[in-house]
Amino acid sequence: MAKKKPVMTVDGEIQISYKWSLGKAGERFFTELRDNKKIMGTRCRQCGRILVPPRIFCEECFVEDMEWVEVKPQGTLLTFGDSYFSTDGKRLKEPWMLGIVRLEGSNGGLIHFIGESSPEDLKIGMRMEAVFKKKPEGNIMDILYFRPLKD
Amino acid sequence: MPKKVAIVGVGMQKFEFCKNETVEEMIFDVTRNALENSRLSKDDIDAVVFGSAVDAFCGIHNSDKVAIDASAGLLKPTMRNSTSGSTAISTPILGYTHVASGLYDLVLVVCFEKMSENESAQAVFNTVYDEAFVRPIGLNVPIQCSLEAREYLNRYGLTERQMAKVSVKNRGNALSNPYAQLPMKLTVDDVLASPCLSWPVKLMDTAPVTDGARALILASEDVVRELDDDPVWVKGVGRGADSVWFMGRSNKALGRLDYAYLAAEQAYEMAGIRNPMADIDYAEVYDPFTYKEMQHCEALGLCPEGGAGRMIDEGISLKEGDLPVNASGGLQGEGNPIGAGMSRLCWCYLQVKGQAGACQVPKDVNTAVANGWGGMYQYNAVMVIGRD
Amino acid sequence: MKSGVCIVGIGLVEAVGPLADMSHKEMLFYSTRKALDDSGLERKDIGSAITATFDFLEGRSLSNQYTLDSIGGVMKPCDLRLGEDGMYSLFAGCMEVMSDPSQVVVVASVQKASERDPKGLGYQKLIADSMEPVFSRPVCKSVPDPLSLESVLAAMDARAFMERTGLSEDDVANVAVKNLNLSTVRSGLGVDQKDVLKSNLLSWPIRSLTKAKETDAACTIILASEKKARALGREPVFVSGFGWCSNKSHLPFRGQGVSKETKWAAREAYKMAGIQRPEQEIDLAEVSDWYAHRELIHCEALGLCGSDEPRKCVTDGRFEKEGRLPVNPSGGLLGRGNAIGTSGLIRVAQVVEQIRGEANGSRVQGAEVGLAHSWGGIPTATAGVTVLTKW
Repeated sequence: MAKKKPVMTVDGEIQISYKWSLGKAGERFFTELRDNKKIMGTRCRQCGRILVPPRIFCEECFVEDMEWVEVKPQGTLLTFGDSYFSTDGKRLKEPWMLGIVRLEGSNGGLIHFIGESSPEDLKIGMRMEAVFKKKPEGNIMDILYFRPLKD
Repeated sequence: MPKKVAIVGVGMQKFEFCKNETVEEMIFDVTRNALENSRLSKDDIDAVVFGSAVDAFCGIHNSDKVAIDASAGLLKPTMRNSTSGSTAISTPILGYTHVASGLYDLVLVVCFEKMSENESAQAVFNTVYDEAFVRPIGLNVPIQCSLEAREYLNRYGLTERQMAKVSVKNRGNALSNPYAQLPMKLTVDDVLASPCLSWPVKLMDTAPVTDGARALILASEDVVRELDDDPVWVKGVGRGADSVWFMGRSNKALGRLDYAYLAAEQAYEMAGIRNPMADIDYAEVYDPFTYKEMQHCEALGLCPEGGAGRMIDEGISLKEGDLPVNASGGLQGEGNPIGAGMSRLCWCYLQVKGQAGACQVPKDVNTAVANGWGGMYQYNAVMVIGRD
Repeated sequence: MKSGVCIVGIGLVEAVGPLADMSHKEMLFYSTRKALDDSGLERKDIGSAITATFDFLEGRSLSNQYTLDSIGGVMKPCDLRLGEDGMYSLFAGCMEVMSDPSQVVVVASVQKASERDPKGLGYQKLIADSMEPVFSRPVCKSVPDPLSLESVLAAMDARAFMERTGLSEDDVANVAVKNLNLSTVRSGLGVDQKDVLKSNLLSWPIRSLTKAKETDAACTIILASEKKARALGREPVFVSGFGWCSNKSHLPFRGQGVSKETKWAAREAYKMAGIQRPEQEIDLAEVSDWYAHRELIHCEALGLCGSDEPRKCVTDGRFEKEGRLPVNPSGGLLGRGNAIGTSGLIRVAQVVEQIRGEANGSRVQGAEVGLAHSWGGIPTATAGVTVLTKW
């Protein structure tokens, strides 16, 4: 990377912390994930689409007419990507991978880590399953990663 | 009846990795340049529209407000737009509505971004991601793009070699661009051998981080003839947007930019263009990554869907090709100060005017198109300009 | 020139305290859904949508990405977001309708103060961060108590105003008394002048009861051309004039205790609306009372005092709800809470309710011409003015 030209500067930082609301949909989703290791979606009663991540409204029909449904923690790998860089820019021996998984029986999906595989093992369209944390806490990391489904 | 709107001048400056000027000084520079090129004074300007994507880059909340004086905006109506990378074109579209509405005759549009002053561009990008579903996972920009690029290449059977050819073309074109940050003479093998950030995206497929600004002046049909007897009109504008829940978009692929096709459709309908491959003479498309140029050429109808590989293989988008794309160097070669991607539109104007200097393409340019892209695979804004 | 733009629907989500159980996306969905129901339109009728949000206040860069679904914008030409007060989304929306009268345009803004900093002090922390970092910010960042910076700057402004106009602390306190008691959201406060003057002193004359407290809110307004509005068969409200203006960037170069930007914005709005004597032709005004003294600065700049001094306007009670020209009959920001980036748009919605005869509990009888004003807050110098008239 090119070195920055030396110029006179003044330093500063902006520090504000936040506590974001998960919202009505998020609260239910993460509670079920934590308490029951279930992935939940919301189904729009008007068009039938099942949304994951769940929403209290369907963005197409634009109405609040949803019901909660359980969605299988399995699905299809839509795409994936790998990286050999750690958070501080150092090069790693083994890559870490993220993928987008379309969850079976829903019109939605999740972006998450891909584990128990290397980039060469993966193909777009593969069936994947979620692996959950032993002691879930109520956030998206309660899913550890998705791994290829063993037939 | 909406007024017809023309571009009467642009303000340019060098794009650099780290500019010594403050945000205010950068804006003054391009404002002055645009006023000079349009033969106008600051008092002639009725309103100012600012565009800048992310305040966290320069660390100033409402960064445009430090440049009211510097942009001829003092005691005038000013407003600031910010829609991620598509700011590059959605901002001049906002300027367009200022004039087309009949409210203002002469509007200055200034787009800027200062990306060099923060601890890391990636740290700033992290503030873009959804706090519940994406941030905890630690998504970064290279992986964000590799997810899309992989799907795109897979869907249409395209290759990293074709992506690399876009890099070679654009960085090579930038050698003729006096404002360019990274002009380079490269081969396809150079690009393929460059460090892989996240397959298929390599370092040489990625536009750099940049400081820079651009300005342009829009004029209503009521005043344009005093300034230019052969105006370049805004012929069509279009915008498209899709849900932020990219992982949950039903029946939509990441590789096909439905929202970009939508934006292009709108702009072409307004401009009366039925066959872009024939009717568009020149294009500057948003290419923060090489595969994005390819996706945008398809969405803008400059080649058939899935045909961007063939377009680059057959030399159609080269400077001397049948439909040149990014003869300025695009973001790859000129630099990517996100909001100031309006440079794509500025270069279209210069090409139509025959004022693009060493970047001027050999063919006649009457109608040109520019676009911007951004968000979580979400936004596209398109503008078509040309002579009567 | 006439704008030809009408407001055909409004939707508000307001809170007294934090709306912790709803995400900001959900708040914005509700306000948009309400506005659609109010107008009789559906998502399919929406031409484009414009939001106004501030990234740093939300803690999300490119915060417009997250509001898109909630404003009905999926696969629509909704690539426009202003980093300005909510009223600016109305200005941009009006220009869109004027450029293409066939379009219906949704304009919206959401503000969730409760998410920012557990103590709700996030906005104050940002004051210094709005300043350019080389000359002004280092001083502001090195003050002993950074959280008081906003109050100190507001005090500087208030002192200059009071010096020029001869207004006393009591006069300023009476503005707070008026607004706090008018509010229908925070009811039963029953404050008097003594309560205000005894409230916590932040920086003279700024006290905790003369400074509006942050709150959560979302607001959506639907715009259409006159022709389209008539076809809907509901009684719309005309946007008969609007204007906005920015003053000098840097605090040291600006006048204190005045609002030139408000005066210029009003001039544009009045010109469009054909208003020559605002103090006579306007029936009610909702203006920014972020600090109690600012209500008076703004009334003066808007020409609502006519040729009288602001001091006279306070003593003769003309701005009271039963007075000649009610100012902030809703209770203002002091009474209802300050939904910072969204409050300008909320004021438009409040005036619409008055003109429609719907403003429950705070109704100004026979209101036909109303004014809504927005101010960017310390340390900015931006203002917007909208004039609304009965059909």
